Amino acid sequence: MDARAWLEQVRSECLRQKLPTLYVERLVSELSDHHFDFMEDSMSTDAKEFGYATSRLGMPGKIASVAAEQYRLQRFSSRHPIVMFVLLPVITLPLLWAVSIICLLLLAKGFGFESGALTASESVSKWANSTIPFVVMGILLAPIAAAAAFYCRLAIKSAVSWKWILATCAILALIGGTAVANVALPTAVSKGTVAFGFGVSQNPSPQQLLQFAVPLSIGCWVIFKRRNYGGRIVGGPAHN
Amino acid sequence: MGERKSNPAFLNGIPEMLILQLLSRRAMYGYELVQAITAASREEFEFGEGCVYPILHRLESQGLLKSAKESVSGRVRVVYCATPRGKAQLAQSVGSWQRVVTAVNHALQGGERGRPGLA
Repeated sequence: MDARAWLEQVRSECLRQKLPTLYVERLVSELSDHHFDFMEDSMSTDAKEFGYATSRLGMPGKIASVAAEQYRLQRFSSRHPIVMFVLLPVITLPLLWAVSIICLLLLAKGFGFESGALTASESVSKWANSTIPFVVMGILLAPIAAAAAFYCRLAIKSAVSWKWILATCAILALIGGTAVANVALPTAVSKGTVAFGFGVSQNPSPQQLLQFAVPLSIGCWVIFKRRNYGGRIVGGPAHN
Repeated sequence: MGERKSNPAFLNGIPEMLILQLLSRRAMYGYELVQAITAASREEFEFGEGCVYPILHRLESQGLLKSAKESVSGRVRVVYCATPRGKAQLAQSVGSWQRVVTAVNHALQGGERGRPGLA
């Protein structure tokens, strides 16, 4: 069997194992290089050497089954970058915001700010009302920054292309940049309110701009810091 | 086409350790790595050389190796090297391996309370 037919057989065996095309193309390309190296090493173009070289590489079926086994052992995030770096960030932020707001409500309750049963002193009320805008800003920004850092780290660990870092940070920026929240603590005469939603106006607030910029800055910084990582080879083990 | 015999042990965790060990010393491309494995193991391991690539790809996806395209001897090749995480993993694997070897040797030599060994 000549090298081309052998490589074709590896390709079809791998595809039969339902391995992704990019993964298969990378494998076949490296096997082709390996074969070429062997032929160059032995300084031969003899047809018998072709057979010997391919026998050294292994049977196509065996290589495909090892490839399938190793592929399954890869990280979930490497195998399914669309799920991990596009779909999950969409639900991560609302979840983190929900948790943050619940924590804020519990904290407020702990300080005596409970609608209908206000026990906080006047000095505490004054202090709380002056700090609440910053707390709300933190509640919106901290989850965005945490999610961006988490997904960037995950992308690096999973050795996926830098484009996934950019994609995940862009998604976080779009969702984060549209989020708005308002919290009013209860007073003796009024109930407390928590308002949370998404919206974009022609003139976004500085806070929304910040929410938009933070994940993109984190993503760009990570890509810049790991620019060698961007030089990953074509294809890669996952969908790149 | 004749099939090379494969040593099952080569496919049971040992290749990762050998690959990490060799690539922690210096960066190598696939063919070079296979030659290095053969030389380092005194040709004890017989394996389909093509099976090394899926292992390399998996180690890379786990962040234990990194790869880059480099021009070597006038050709563009995919060169692999161990990451700091890969080196840490190697140290751990080597420690575990040495404990296993010591324990097995101890058992084969009779052990403290065991029956006379096989040797």
